[in-house]
Amino acid sequence: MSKKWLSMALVFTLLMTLLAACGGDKEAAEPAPTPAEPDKQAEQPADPDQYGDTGGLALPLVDEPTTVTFMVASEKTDLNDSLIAKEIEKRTGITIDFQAYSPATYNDKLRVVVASGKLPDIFHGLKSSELKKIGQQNAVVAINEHLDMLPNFKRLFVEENPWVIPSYGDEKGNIYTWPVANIARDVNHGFLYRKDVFDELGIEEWSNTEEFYEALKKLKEAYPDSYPYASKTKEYIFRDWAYGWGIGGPNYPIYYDEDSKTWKYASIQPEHKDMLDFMKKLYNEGLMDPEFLTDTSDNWTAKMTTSNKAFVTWDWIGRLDMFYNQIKDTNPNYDLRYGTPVGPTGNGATLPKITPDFSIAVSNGKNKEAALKLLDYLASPSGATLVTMGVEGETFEMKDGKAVYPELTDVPLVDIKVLEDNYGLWVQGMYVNSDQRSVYYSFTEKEQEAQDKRLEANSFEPLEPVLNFTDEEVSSIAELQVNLQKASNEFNSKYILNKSYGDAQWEEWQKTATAQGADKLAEVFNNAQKRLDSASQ
Amino acid sequence: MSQAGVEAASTPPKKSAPRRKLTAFQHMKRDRQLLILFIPCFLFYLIFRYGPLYGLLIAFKDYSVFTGIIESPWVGLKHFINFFSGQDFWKLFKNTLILGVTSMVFSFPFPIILAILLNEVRVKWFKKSVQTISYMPSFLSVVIISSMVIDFLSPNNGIINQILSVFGFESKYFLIDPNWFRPIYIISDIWTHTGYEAIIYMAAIAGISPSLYEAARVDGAKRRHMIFNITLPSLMPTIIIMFVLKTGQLLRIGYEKVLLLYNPMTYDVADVFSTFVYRKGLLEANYSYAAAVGLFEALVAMVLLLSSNYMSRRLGGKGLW
Repeated sequence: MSKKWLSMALVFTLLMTLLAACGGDKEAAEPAPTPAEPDKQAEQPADPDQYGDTGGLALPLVDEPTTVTFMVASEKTDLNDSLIAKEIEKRTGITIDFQAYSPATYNDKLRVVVASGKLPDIFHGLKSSELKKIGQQNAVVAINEHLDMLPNFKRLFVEENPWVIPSYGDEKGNIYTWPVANIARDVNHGFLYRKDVFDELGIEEWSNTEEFYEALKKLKEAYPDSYPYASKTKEYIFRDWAYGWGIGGPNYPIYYDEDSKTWKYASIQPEHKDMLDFMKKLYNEGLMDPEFLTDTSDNWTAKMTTSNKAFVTWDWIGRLDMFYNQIKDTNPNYDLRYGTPVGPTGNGATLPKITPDFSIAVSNGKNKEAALKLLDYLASPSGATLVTMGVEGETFEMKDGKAVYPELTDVPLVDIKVLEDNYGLWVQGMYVNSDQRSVYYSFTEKEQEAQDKRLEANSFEPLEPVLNFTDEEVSSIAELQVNLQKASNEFNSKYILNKSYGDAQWEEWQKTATAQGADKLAEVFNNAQKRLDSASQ
Repeated sequence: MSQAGVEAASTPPKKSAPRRKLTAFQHMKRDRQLLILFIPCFLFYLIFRYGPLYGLLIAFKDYSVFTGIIESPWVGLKHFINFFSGQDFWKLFKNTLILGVTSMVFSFPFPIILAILLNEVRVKWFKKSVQTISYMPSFLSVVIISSMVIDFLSPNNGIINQILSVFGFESKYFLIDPNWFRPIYIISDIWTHTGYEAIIYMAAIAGISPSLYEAARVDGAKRRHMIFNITLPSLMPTIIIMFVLKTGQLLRIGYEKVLLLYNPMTYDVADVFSTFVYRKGLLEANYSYAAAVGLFEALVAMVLLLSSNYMSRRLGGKGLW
């Protein structure tokens, strides 16, 4: 009998450990370390500008010590002990209790947090329509109601850019997202070409579409087994090239036509057919890699880094140096450079200087004023320097107009990731403004050439107006867009790859797309545009 | 009546007596140790399989994340009607069914054949290594398998096209040819899962009594006779169970692999329910609609499972239940 009981006890123990193992993954929010007593010696700063230009905010921001919870996407779990947390506490009197989740799981965590109804004081990452919805339920603060205590927000998004609130706010003109300003570079993507191979064959870099075609032809003559243009972006090639034909934009395949001041569906416009015809020509003559629809990143890398497979492509400017570093030991002459945008307009994308896409929001709790003021400080020149560079004389020194980090001299390349790991700078969801002297803007020589080339030629497609959709519009866009996008990609691909496709199929497609709601989609955008026009008058 | 008979009737029965009906409580008391062992399994199903079922409510509601499941407004069968009347429905249904049925028909026999063949191998090390090599691919993620397929089939430098060109064939761009999508999908599936699924048949073969084979050998049976008259019939129950289970998953085509292998040129044949649900649910954030499609898929799977079980009971007298 006792044996039986013993075995039962064993089974029970086993069971309990099993259950315990299941419940182990509790991410209990650790209590914030109690703030260290502020230095007794630190007197009240007599000089309001002791930390640089605060844009008119008086430091410290709060009368008594306040703790603000701040949810961010970062791999760094000890942000509460980082330089940024200590420095902000010293300057503003606000202790930040960071709730950091890795970018991979951040969105899931955010959903859970929102569903629980216990929002952190500051958080980011909801879709704009979702944020507006909970804003209207009073879960987050309408920032425009507190303008008089937020001088930096007022300066950046009301006085200097009066379009921001009509565009990013809701129908009542309430804005719930704190936009991020001055974070964009001028150029991030574009056509890249193998300058060393071009030079070797005596081919000039192209300056227009016809020359681009001729260059590819010469490359093919020299290397008959090659496909001079390779692509790794699969069906996104249509989106990426569209800027050069004047039909691109962040809402592709819907784009704003500046001449007629209306929104149109790109995939059924005559310009789009010109682009497809051009691609078809390249494909038929073996100038474009037939695998452009399926190539994997590795395969494409292999083609671009050997010297007889492919010579021109379209991607992120970081590749200019990445590829070189990969291949320099075997081919020191390898020289990938940024080329002029292809297409009749000769333009590429324009990166917006102000973006609401981070959806940084302040929840409607007892700390809302402190949280708003904190964000306003981070948006000031002084705060921007702190978040994107650090503390001058402590973390960085200025040398020849560049920030250098004495503690990080053994790091080969100090980039924003390194700064995040060491000091908690550049944390996603925390930077709302940036100092242009930051390492983020120190380009390599090849990247600089890309910026200069485009700036000199001023080859930027005009920015599109930013629209503001009602709930109903948001859901009808979602319903139409995915289907249309898929149908467009299908037609585009068939048009290029199938020999039999021509004008008849193109007209057929225009009808099909209209039947699937291409006009309806454009109409939704045009209605929102009308509202925007009347709001900004 | 003999003396013995009377006695037998009057003495209390020892074994063959009808059991006393036990109450549920007595049952529990008697089998308490088994029941305790069963608790984790029961809890698992309760929490992770039956618990989430209430989320199916959103298929009949206009679910929004912020109002929550309970608060969202009821819309009845709106999403189902939308789905059945949508232009894509028949195409999706056809593609899902064809891909499901063909991949089952073609890939089902392979593990059985492999297990039987391996069973006939007498060289230990060879048998072991074939087994290991054959079930390795099932440990690779779908993403890796798909990238391998794409690379192998590349018209420029893929190994398949290189072999073809050695034999003087034109290099072919398989991945954009709609006719090739299904064969590629199925063959790569077979390559991935055959070794792993053969394990269960190997185990079943190991359980067949050796005396049967000895008797057959005495009667002068050759190897092939043994395979067809002993091994296969003994495997039949396992085969039937596996088959019934598989039919339940017929429509459950994982979206990942299709998503990774299809491209705009092959949408026509490759688009299935699960990729549709992915696009609706994740890309359009239309959770209710996606849940409705998923529920429909599950219902079809249930019907298939029940009917195949019924069929196998009618035909062979054996089923899952």
